[in-house]
Amino acid sequence: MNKKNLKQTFPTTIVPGTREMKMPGPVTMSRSTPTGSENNSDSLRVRMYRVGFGDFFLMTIPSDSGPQHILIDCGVTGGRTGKGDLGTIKDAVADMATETQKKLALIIVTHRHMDHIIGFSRCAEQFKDFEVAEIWMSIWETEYDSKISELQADLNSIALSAQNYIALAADDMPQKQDMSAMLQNATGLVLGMKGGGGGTNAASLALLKNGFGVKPKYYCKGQQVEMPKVLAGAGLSAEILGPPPTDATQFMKLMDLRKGVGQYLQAAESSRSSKIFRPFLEAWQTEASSYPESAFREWKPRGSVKPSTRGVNRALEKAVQAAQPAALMSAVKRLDDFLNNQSLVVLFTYKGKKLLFAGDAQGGNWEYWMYDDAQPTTTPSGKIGKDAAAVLSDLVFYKVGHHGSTNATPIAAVENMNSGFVAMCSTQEDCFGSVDNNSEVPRRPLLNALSAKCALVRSDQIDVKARGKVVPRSQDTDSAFHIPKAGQFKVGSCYVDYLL
Amino acid sequence: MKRTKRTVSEHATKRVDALPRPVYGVAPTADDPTVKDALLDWSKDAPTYPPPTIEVGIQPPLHRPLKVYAIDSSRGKLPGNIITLMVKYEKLKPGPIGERICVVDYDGSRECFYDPVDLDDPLIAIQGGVEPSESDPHFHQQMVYAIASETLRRFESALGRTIRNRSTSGTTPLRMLIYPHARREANAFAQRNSLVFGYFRARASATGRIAPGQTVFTCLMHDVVVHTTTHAILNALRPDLLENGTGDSDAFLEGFCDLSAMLAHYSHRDALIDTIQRTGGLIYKSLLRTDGEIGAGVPQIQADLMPNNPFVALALGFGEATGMAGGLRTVLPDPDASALDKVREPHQRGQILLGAVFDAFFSIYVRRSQALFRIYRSGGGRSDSPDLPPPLAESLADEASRVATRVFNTCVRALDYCPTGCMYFGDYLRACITADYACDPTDKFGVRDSFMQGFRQRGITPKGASFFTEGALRWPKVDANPFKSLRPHFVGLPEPDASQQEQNQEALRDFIRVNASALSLRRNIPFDVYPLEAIRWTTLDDTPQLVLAAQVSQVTRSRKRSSLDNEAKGDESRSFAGVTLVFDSSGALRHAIRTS
Repeated sequence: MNKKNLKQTFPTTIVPGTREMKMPGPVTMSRSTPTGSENNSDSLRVRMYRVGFGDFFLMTIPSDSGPQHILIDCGVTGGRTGKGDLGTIKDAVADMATETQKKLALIIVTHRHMDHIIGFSRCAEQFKDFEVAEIWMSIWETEYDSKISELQADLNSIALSAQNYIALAADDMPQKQDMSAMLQNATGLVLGMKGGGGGTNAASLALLKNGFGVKPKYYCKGQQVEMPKVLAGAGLSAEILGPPPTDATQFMKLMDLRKGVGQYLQAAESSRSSKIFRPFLEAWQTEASSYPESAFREWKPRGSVKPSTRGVNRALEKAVQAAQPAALMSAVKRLDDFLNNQSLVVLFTYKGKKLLFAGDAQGGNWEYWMYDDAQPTTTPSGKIGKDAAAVLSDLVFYKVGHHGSTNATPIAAVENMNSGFVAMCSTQEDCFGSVDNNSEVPRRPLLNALSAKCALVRSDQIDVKARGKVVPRSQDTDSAFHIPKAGQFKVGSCYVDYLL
Repeated sequence: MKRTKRTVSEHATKRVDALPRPVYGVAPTADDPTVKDALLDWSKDAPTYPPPTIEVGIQPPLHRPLKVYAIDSSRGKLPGNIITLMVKYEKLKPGPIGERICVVDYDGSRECFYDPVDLDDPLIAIQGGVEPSESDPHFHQQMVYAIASETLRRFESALGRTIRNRSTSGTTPLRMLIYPHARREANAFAQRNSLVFGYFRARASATGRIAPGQTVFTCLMHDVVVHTTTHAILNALRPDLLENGTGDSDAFLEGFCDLSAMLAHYSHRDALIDTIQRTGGLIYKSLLRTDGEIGAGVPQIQADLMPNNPFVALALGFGEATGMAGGLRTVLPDPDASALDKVREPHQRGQILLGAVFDAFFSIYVRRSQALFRIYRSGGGRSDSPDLPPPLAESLADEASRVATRVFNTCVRALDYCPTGCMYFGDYLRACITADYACDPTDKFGVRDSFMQGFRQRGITPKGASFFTEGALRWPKVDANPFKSLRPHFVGLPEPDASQQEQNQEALRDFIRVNASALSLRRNIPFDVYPLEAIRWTTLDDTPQLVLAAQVSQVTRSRKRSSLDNEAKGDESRSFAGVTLVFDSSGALRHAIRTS
């Protein structure tokens, strides 16, 4: 291999407001070789794979019996534009397999969205040879509480119905792409795309729950985890910060989603036959001209004296459709938020260093553990609880929640974080939200605020190879990395490592 | 000259004799020269007292009888399911297209129109409308037209005014556009003034009287049509609750629409009598007595089955078609004081409100029907007898219907007493108590106490009221001290014309500007005013009452540089202030209800 290619030069990032801006000169980082050889050191390592819009993290802990690996999520989704899936997940899993020698001390699955779990079923062939000692999942995945499992099954069927329904709707249906993207993430099914990359969320969950020969443990805030012995022996401990218990007040509001908006989504059980299904005999059908002109007063095409059937069709269809997505979109959004809020939030402590993996937790999940009050406040700068303040002010690592979206890292959390930690954000631009309505993912002001406090690295900051082509880093990212206060970054073929 | 006093009938004979034979179908008017002459001729030797007015010729009818399903099509010809609504008469075009309601049968899923019904066709009119049928879209169009008209009438009757689309820029009379088969989906909804109904195939798990795979039309479900129509009416009456929509506003709108749908049943006499018979007068029971042998164990024939009580289960047909055990919702969920903390989804949360009001309604009904039961028992009647004598059942139906009207009127009038932009169930309780007090200070029905207890059982207690007593729950009368004036100069009340409306709007704006701080609004910040509307009714002693209400909202936006947002523009912070102004008939401010 050409040695020159293994070296990459990164100029020092100048980040206003940080001490690092004073550091002189370019910083050289080596591109590591994809072997497990480097793990003999005493350092803890967090590896973030670049697969697109999705989380795929591997944490490695040194121990007496060699490096121990924890896999945290393995998924990717295309998003609204379809650009989210780079097609590198199989390569990344292969890399991980080599790295771990197919032995994982622990798998953590934060929640059941495609961008966190699709890799398990898409790369089932590779995973089937893995030895997995333990699996942790969110309490919402439990099979031991019929209420919860029925709710999840029901939500899944709603999502599938809605996904079919939207797929068949007219292309000019407002917000169609956004809804499709969210539902695709919920089901893991890629409709309308040949092959779709393979795998489904259901298959991934089945593999995780039954395929590794180990029964997952389901956790929520307040429960003590049973740390695998080999990890505990290596000095690692963990605390579960989220999700809240399933009976917690703010979560209950989501429990009744089925009854409330489910009815809006039952539309499409067999909507493929929509045109064939005739409610009345053909003889009842007629043209717009059978109606008096005053029937079309509100939506008569401007300028026409007597509306044509086609014009009327279009105008009325638009009017009727305009009413529909508001309800549908709100239902789909709620479903998306609900699944995100099921995220297992884990705080690891290793030799006194705290690492926070927040999954895709959003408002309700964070509020539950951040605020002591029974009634959590949503005021951005509300006074947060003592324990939460202690956690946030002492972080060495933070996995940025929900790919950097605006509502997944509360302002209060950022304000209470200490400075000088490392944040990793696995994301891909132009997949969800838009700059116009301040909802782009990742959200720039949030990343700016984090950058001001810590050394932030994004997965889309590095070039990777996908399907024989090089996928360059996202346009508005800097090829330069921030300099961490402690430890260092290393860039690999399809990942970034943080060595601590 | 001594005048001979004639009887009215003598005058009438003379007048009618003097008139030409009327042409069928065309009523002579006062402008008709022959009529004028006859009147003049008559007045020559008329007595000094005012002449009696006699209607002559063929007059347009007051009502148009139209058949509808009282519950839904799956109940077929079960007793009381097919009823005739006496809809206010108006000339209709095919659709039916009237002045306020316009039915256009366009199917968005199939991209076609269905033939419109012409209810003015004599062959249809003479039969009292199209016969009920699931397979005839003409009947569907007739049913949505009839129910929407009737619902609109009930609201207008409670408020004593024409319902208008209100916006901060003015008002226009509400005209509803109804699409009875707009989409192939298990849903019905209102978007502004458009009512969209779907149709769908019943699920394989369908229960009750609906067969799996059967086509189910939401426009043939009475509850669903009233619920959706009420949404459109609320969109017109209180757009502020939709536009701002915080607090319990969403849940309130859903609960209120359910309320309106369920109370509408109590004006359907035949169905009500049947239910009273089958519940022994206790109409709040969830199941009806069977037609077959009572207590016969496992049902052998369909008549042994205990049907759901359609007077307590909402959208029974919808629930059954989608595989639920009963209706979509019930008017009497178990009272649970902690439900308010647990349930957030608007429809389910609205059910808490529904339960509170129906608890009050049933309690009033039971209390008032006690006397009838006592009379029945003292005459040897047994209260545990499965059969009530028909006169008793009819009297109970009258009582239930009267109480339902009273409760409905209170609930509707309270709409004008609710805070602006954001409301909680507790606010609605206060609005109901205040509106009801204004209408009937003596409260012989015990409505207000029943409301208070019904709400309290479900944990709904208003914020800001120091005691849970009727007096404390009424919105306080305005304190005149901080106000520069309490009486804006309104003109043309109670039904001002367009220019008078503008003048009133301006008077209101001046009044708010001058008294901004007394109304807890920020000075020098723009505000919106939803135009003044009147509520008119007669009290129990026949005194006409007039109350005027308007809503004022003020949104203050400021761009705050948060520490998170380093971008120059920063995030926008928005604070909302609202106040509902209620004036008495003299135009003086009586209540200023601030949004909490």
